[in-house]
Amino acid sequence: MKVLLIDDSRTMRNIQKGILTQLGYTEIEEAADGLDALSKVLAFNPDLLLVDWNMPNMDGLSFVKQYRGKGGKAPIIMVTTEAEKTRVVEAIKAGVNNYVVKPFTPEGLSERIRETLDRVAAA
Amino acid sequence: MSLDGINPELRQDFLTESSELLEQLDSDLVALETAAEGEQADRLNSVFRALHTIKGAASFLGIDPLIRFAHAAEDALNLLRRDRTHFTAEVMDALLQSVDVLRGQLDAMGQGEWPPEGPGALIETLKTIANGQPLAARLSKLQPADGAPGPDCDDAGLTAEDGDAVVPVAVPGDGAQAEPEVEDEAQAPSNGVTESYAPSEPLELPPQKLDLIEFMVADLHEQISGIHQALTEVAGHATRHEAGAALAETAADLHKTLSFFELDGLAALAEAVRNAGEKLPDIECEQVAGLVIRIEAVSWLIERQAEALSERRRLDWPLRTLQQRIETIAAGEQLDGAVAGVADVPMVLRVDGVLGEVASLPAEASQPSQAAQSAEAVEPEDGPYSPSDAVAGVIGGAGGGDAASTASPGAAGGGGPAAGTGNGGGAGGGGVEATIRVEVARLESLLNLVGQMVLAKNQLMAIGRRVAEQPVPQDLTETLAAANSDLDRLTGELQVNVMRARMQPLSKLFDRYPRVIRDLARSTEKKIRLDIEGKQTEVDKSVLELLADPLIHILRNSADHGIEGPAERRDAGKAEAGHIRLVAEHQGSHVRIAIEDDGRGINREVIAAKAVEKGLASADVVSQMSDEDVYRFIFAPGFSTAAQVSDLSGRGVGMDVVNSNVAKMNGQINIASRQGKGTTIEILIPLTVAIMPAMMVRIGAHMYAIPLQSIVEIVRPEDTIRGKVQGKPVMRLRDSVLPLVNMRAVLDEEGEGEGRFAVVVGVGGQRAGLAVDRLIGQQEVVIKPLDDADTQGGPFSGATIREDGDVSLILDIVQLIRTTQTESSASGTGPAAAA
Repeated sequence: MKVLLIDDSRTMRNIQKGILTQLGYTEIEEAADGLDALSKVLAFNPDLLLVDWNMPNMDGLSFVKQYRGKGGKAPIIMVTTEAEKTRVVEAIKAGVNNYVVKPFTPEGLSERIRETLDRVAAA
Repeated sequence: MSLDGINPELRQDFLTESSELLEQLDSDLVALETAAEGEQADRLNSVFRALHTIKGAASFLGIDPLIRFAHAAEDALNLLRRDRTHFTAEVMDALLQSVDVLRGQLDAMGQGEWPPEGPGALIETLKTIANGQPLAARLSKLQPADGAPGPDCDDAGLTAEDGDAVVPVAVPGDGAQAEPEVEDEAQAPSNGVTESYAPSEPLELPPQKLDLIEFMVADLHEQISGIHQALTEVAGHATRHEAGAALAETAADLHKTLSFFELDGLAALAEAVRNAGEKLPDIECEQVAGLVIRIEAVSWLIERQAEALSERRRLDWPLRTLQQRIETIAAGEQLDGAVAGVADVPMVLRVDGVLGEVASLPAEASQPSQAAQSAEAVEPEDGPYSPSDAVAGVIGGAGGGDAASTASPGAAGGGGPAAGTGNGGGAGGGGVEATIRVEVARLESLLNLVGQMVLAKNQLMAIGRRVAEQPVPQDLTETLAAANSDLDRLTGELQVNVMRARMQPLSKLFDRYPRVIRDLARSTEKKIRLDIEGKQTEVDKSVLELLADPLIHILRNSADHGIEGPAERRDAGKAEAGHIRLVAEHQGSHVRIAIEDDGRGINREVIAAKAVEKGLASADVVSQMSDEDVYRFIFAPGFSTAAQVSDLSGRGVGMDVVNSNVAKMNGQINIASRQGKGTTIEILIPLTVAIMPAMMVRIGAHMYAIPLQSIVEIVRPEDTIRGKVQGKPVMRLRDSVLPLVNMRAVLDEEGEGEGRFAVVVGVGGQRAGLAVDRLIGQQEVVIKPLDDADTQGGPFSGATIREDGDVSLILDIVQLIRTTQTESSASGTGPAAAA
């Protein structure tokens, strides 16, 4: 199970990484923004992407559009703030599979991941 | 019924949005009449969308009179969308009147009243249009000799468009037995209407997804209208490629949205539609109709599901066959003849097994046009529209593919169970908000506060100057001065920004005028072209409001009295169509708005005679007046020269609003006219009206403010340049002689000698010197309106609070100069002469 973590904040990445590790996901790659992620995503070929919305250089939404545009199929969970929630509609149309609102609990995130992967598996 | 049940915020949003849409409708309709062939389709669609949006939102709120009327108008429009040869001036009249009726209904709601029903006569007219004779002609053209579905793609497109319309709802299995009472039953407020569409079950979704449903419902409806839009373009060979691409794109979005909500059956359908959209250019003409009608069916299903979403329910349809048939067509294969020929949505839904199986097709089903015709015959008898029309439609549909032709997308889109639930409504379908709506009252209070802050700052500055004159340590005064100057700058910027927040483009007003002129031209049988320039020019909101009436009166006057009839123009060697130009532009610190016409011009003699007759001035006085001053009589209360009073202008009521409103804005009016060539009326308004720079002067014992914008220069008239002409004081200023107004006398102030300074003020081309005792200095003044009773006759436009906290009156320069002019031509009355 390979997960690509995309967030400009190192702290946030570490938190998410900690949660993922707890959940048993060990193969984790990190990217600091959308551009960085684009350069890594094809080689790493993740099974799941956790994408922050607000990032420098290329934001999460643009990244999702580009990734899907290039035929990327892996499920994406968007990490948003409460304030960005109204924009999730945009993200969904860009191809996001699920979203989680910051701040989240380990249980919350693991629940979102499970939901998302279950749905992918079912399809 | 009352509006009490509607969330006030939602209602306000609805009113605001709908009013904007109505403006849009108005201008689109007017533009439509003159639009080039190629542009018409776009305009029509835009008109249709606007109307549809209003109706959709009204359905959400359950405002039945509005829904019913909008529905009638929409039906009429629908015909025009299909067949543009129906455009006649009469049809346009009816449509424009419909906009007025809707506006009236919205106004009533704005007053907190339940809107009235639309006028029956107009509804009848709309129905007549919707069922117009040419429609029948089109249908007969559609029917091929052998009764098989038309092979022409254009026809296919037409059929398709029918589909975007009413989609009768089948209660599975009992459509045939349904009795007319069903209509009444269905009119009962949304008692589980959703249930009747399909078996449904509670939607089980994780909470964060449920959270988004409100946004998504709006978004889904939006995407569906995208699908409708694309389908209307599919008909044309030229646009088919693009329409296919648009279809595919929207369907892709739908697929993602639906699958996010775990509505997998519909998501798969959307995916099939996306694929079909991509293949569209390769699909045989004969198959397009079958595809389009199925995509319509998909849209209808998604809309029902979207409605059910707000009730947190998932509708469960057997969708496999429908999906497979779409895939079959997309793959370039033929559908079985009878199945391919189904031409209305309810029939598709049944044939494809979504709404209950049918063993065999009714005979009519393979002859869509005939079915449509029979439906047409039924339709006019229909009662007023209600959200349940869709349900009622089934009943007819059971007999044989109901009325695709009378259909309206709204029946499918707006009505239904969502009506009455009142939640969600126009809530934004996501997207970044670049603007927010703010109550005007908040801006007003903000501006008011800034105004008071400017006053406080002025006082602080004054204290700073006094402190500087006191024996206090220099570093203290310097620090104070520096802080004061920062405060000054920041207050200035704050003021500018608050002002800017209140600015609105003149297009808010200007966009209404094409309609006004169009109606006027039609009722007076003239030809008039209106050109509008600079409508993006922004002015303060208060200015916009004050301008609304004056501009409309001037425009009407130009069209009614200025522009001649076609015959008269021909005889005068002019083009038959009169031309009115409405121009707005910035001129320094002013906005200039000019209305120019190429009509017959103003006849000085006629105006002069009328003015004397009305007792507005004596013949002597009038004979000495400049042309422009004579023209100004047209703005005098009760003045009308039209030989024949039309119902539009010339009642003598109104033009005086021009003067009074422009004066309220501290504006000026200039009139220029040439006999037989035309008239130009120019309004100059200061950019902001609430705060303005002024020169404070002392006259006698008091201080007065003179608006800086009116001041041309200030001189100290030596005795050598003072003089008298015809016993009246004048001053010489370089090459000209100006009346010199003894302000002390005018204002009834005490004092000795003649004022030491002359403030030369100008309005338009007129100049006068105002003799004052002392100049205090320049200050920004915040204008506080005066009660009219207090200032009756006095030359004041308002009052302000000075730096020292006292109150000063602001001099009304326009009035002062006018008095001077009349006095200098009349002999010997008035305060100045008495002095």
